[in-house]
Amino acid sequence: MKVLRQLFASCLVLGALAAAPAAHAADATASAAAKPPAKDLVLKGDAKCTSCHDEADEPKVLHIGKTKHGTLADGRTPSCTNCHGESDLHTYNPQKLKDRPATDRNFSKTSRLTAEEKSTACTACHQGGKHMNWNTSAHANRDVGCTSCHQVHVAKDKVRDKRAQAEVCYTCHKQQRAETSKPSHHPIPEGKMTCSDCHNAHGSAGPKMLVKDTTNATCYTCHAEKRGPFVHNHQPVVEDCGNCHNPHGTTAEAMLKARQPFLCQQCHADAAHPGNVPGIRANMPNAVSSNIGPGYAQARGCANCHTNVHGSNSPSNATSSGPFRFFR
Amino acid sequence: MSTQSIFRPTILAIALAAAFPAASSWADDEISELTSPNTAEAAINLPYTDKINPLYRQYDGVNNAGINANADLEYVRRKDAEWFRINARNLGLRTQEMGISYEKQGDWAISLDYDQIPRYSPYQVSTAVSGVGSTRIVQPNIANTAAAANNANLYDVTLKTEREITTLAASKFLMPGLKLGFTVKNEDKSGTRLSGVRGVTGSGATPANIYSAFLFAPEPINQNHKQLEATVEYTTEKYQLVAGYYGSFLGTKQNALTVVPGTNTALVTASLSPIALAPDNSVQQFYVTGAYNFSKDTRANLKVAWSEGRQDDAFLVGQPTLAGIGGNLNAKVQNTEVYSAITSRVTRDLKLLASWRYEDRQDKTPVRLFGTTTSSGVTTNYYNNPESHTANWGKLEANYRLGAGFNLTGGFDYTNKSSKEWERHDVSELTSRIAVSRSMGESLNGTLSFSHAERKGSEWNHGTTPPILPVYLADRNRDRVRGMLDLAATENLNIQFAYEAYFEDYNKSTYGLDKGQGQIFSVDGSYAISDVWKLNAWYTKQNGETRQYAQGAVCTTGNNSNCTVNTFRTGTLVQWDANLKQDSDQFGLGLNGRISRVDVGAQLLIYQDVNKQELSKMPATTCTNAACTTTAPVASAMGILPDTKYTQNTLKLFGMYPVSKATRVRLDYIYDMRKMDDYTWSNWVYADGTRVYVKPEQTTQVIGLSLLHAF
Repeated sequence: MKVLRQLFASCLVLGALAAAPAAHAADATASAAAKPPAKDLVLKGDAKCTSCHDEADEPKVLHIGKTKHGTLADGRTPSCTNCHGESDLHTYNPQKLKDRPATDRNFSKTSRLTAEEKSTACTACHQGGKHMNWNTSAHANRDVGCTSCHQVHVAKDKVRDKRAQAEVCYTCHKQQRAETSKPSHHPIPEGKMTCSDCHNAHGSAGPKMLVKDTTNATCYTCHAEKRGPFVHNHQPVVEDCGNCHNPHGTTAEAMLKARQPFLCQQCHADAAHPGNVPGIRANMPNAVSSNIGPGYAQARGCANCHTNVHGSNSPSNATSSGPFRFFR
Repeated sequence: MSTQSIFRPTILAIALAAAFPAASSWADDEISELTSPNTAEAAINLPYTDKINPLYRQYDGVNNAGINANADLEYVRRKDAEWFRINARNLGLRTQEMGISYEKQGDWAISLDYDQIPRYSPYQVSTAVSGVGSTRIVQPNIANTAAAANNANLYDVTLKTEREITTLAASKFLMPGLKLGFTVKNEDKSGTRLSGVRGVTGSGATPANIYSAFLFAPEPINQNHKQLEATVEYTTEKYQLVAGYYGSFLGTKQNALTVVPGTNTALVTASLSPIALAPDNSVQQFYVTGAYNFSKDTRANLKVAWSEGRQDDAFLVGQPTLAGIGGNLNAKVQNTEVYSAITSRVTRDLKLLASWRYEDRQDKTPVRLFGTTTSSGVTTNYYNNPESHTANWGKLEANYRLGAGFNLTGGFDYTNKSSKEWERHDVSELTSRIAVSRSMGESLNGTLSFSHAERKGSEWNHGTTPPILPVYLADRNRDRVRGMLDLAATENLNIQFAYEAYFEDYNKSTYGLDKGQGQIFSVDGSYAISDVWKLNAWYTKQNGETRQYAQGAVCTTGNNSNCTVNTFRTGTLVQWDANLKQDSDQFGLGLNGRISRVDVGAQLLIYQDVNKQELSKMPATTCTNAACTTTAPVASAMGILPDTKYTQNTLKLFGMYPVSKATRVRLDYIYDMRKMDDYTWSNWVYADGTRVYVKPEQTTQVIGLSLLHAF
């Protein structure tokens, strides 16, 4: 009997042990049925995405919380699906595909969407103010989308950092990268200026997507002393600073497109002294070089005499070397 | 500074948090940390610079060797929709900048920023001129050239300018979509800029001043520029509007530079002193810009701007002037600018763009007689020359999707400019262009484009084509080709090729620009060696060539009327041309990774640039004295210009070690070598003995230790 009682007891224990998983499973099923909806972690309604995606993904989705898009207290901020679409095929993968379908609006490099289609996610909200002319910009019409330059899910978007922005622009603008390294340049490599100081990458009413309506107006935001008008104006200066300067950088001083006198001789080289041959002192016989020769090529070139080449405001009637020719 | 999370959650962590209620509280904390922008970090930087070199110093703001301590700061706090930020960089250096802002996102914002931008001259100056930086330059008394070069009063001068910029900005939403904005930017610029003035060769003891007739006269800069902008923006889904006011007011604290000549450095009789400095001026603009969405595929844009510029700064005094010019120029310039555009995706595959831009600049400055000259009984009058012009720019572009990610884009750009003041009243340019691109390929994307532009104009003034046509008015054909190829060779390797070339032909001009061409080729590569190690490298080759023609004086046998010092301009003219060539190579390399717990990185830039100025059609020999009794080959005697070369090799290394979760130590090393072989200032001595020069090779090394702490 003792053996029978022990056998019975053992069966009870084994039975209980065997039944336990089933009971646990039944509890789990009941629990699942009663499970509250997944909790949003960052954005309104983001649980649809964050129940699967987290910081292990690239981009790190939760980091959007660090951005203005992730500032929930601003009622205008979007949810994941505002930008990425409802993406039910991606979420539920009803066909159980091995490679889950992409979101409705996918921003990755392998996206099947055009840049324009991707950008509609942004332009739905960002179409006023500085973004007003995005639709007419060279970027928008050359397959450049917002996410070609901007990182939306990071606290610090590289293209919005003055020191790092140029690197983003250089992704396409190789010539500008080469020119900003030349000895005469704006302080872009040094991080004291950046591309957006002069250009609005989102489009503008001006030429070359400049921030102002003309080239000169853009330059005058920093170089207003060249604006004049002067008593004696220099025609190409008034017409366009870009006639003489390459603002991205050159090897000639003052970002001139060519060294003096060659630059000046592109307009003045057929009469009197402007067309004279430039020389340097080391190669010039002193007897014939004391007045003009090296003064063309060396030091400030033509500006050795024509001091006020951007325009002179001198009212002088001096008859020799007067302000008429920008001497003073 | 960068903010690093000390926790990287995974699905597992969140799953655990969900499965075990006891764990949920810390999971929430961690999620909060991952989604919070709140940051409080400070860095103390102790860079040691071994020596000050002008080429490296130009914009970096460091003018003392040794340790130049500085600090960075970043503080961000967000509570609900309110953001408070403080940023500062390079505090303690001349490049320091800082900003503070407070905003309620979607409601109001206010910010105050300060920025300091120095620029040091890349040259070294040794001079005996006094008063540098002031409006009165006094030339030294020097008997002759030898005395000028050995003047015991020579001293070193550092020329630099500095901008201090303060910007206050504020905005407020009055209602959803309606926003007011206001910005005021105050900029003070001061310092001294390299400049000079024409004098005359001295007539003192032998040897006379053989260097030049040019006097060192650095320009003092002391000005204030205020810019204000006020906007009203109204944005709806259907249309957007901005109405604004922009004002720019420049105030210069001096309008004349007086140069007092010394012995043997006299200015010409009629006086080249004082020199006019930049006058005060202002511009005020009103504008309205808007856009309207006719549908989700069609959008139109319009901007209309009107501005008026004024310049009525008092004329400098101390000069002979004609009666009736008044006390100032009383200049007034009115500009009208219009920009309109429409874009429409007319079918699924076809998008059209049309735009028109118009500028009308009317210089309404009264015209007065400022000077007269008489030569050979002929009197020439010099009036002030107001410059007015109008311009139109039109663009028509079509983009068609060919399928498989390919796009075909074609278009025309039209430009027309006209001015009664120009030697040619009307100039037009038509550019035709076509491009094919692929943008959605899995591994290969790119673009290839061609454009052809023709610029022509009206008859030249008086119906006679002058022998030289100003470069911006001359007839010109220009062809451009651009190509870019983006290859995702593997998941970890991307390679990009870019090529661009232009070919210009200026025609119908005997002198001036003739032909030009340039090319640039780049290859970029980025390789993810692992999750931690990233490598990128690039190489760029750029070259260009421009040919231009001139006629001028060459002192040579049979042409020795040109040899007399002051008749260079009146002797027989020879025809010559210049072929200007430039060639540059750049190589860059970047490597970032981690060794154990130390983040490390390296950057390398190798840059070489060569410019050639090839002058041709020179006579074989030239005179070496005024009487032309001796001659020498042109190449050595006439001053054929040598090549100029510039080299920069920069290596930057860093390592950053996390001492604790909140504290990091960073070590930086910079090696920077620059060579400048340039004739511009080579052996140059002003008549007053001033030397401006470049040390041909400059090597700078910086070792920096930084302590970064997150609070």
